Amino acid sequence: MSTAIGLAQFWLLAALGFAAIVSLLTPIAQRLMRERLIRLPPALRHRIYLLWSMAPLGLGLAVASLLLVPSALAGLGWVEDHCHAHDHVHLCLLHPPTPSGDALGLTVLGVFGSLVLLHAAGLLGTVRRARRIRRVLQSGVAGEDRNGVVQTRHPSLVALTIGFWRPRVYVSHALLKSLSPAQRTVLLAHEHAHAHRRDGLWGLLAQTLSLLHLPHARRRILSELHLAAEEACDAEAAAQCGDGLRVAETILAVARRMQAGTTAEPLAMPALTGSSVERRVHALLTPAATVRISRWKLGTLALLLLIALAAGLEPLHHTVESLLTHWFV
Amino acid sequence: MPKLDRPYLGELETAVMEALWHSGSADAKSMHGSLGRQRGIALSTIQSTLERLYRKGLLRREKVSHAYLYSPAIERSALLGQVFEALVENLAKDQTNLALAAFVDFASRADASTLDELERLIAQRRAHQGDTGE
Repeated sequence: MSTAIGLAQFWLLAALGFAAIVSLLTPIAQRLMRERLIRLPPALRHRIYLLWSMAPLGLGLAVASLLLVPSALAGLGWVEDHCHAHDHVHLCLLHPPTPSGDALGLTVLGVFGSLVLLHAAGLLGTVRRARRIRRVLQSGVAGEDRNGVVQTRHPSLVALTIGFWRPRVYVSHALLKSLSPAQRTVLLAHEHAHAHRRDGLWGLLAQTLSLLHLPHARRRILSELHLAAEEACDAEAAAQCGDGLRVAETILAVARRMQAGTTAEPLAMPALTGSSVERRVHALLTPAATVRISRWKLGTLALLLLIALAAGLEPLHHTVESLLTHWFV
Repeated sequence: MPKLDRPYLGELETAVMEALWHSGSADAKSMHGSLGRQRGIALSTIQSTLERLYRKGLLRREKVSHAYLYSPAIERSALLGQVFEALVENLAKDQTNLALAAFVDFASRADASTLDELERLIAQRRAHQGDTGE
């Protein structure tokens, strides 16, 4: 039992180490990649930012788990057991280490645990706020059309999609009345695209799993993710009504009405990406070229990664064991 | 207009407000008859809910005989608008909230000159396409 705890302890410390490296490299990568990513089609960009939001935690856990592979292979008798050849912490399923009482190691794990708890509390707040908004909107429901759009008698200009598993589109009479029939079609196509793509769920997932990014980098990634989702829905609405300019005109029409009709303070998030209205309209005026990645190229890349992994795993395993021993024993 | 100190109402509070908007006025006993019994709620719970809503400034009351007669102090649409605005303001504090997707962000209001500039660009593009638009 105690050896299992020891293995979990060192495995988590190794994972947090890799996560820290990814986190520290992210701001540099953001500076290098941002302009290139903006030129990509929004749906692809959304997937990239979604993966990036999870990168420190995901890659940290994945690489730390890969370090256990040599011992798993030794257990199967496919490679030689290396543990007796050296004397330090073993990231090994066959000879798990005893738990360490090292102050630095325990502090790192304690900080991580506190971060997880704080983050969980924040997420709970997000889910509760989403529920409250839904309940407020639900209290003014005038009816639901056959496409699942909930029309509300709400006096504010509301057009939003809310919900994680079963997202619903809420649109207020006040907003619908202020738009032309063509603009209404665009607005509903855009919101349906959000529901169909389950952007709320992906957003929540990104919020949850991005906790190991540096705060500023995290805000920027989530902001870009949000904007990519909006642009992807604009693109779907444009494809459906066959006119990207009409989508741009509808965005401006709604922005004008909201500018005149709401007193709420501006949110801070879009400030990072500039005005999202501006970027969305520019994206519709100059749609991104379609990107085609050939299967042949993808296959080659996967093969190269596999070879690099096979060649580098053993040295990396030993290096991490040495570092864990040096810092935490 | 009363300002809510919390940007939402509980489920029972909402139901009480809805009932009063529908009927115009009621005392605790008749409210318990229409709402409390079907929910299995005690009269005292209805009384405290009415008291709470009165303290929030959402209800008026006058003493008729031995009981208070409650009536709404705010119109339904005004309260809904206020609650929604408060929730949006609340949401504004969370810089990384991706829980909802609004057609135009409540936050991303570009200034008027930017919107003018964007409209001009769209008009140019329409003209280029030989399309007069809507």
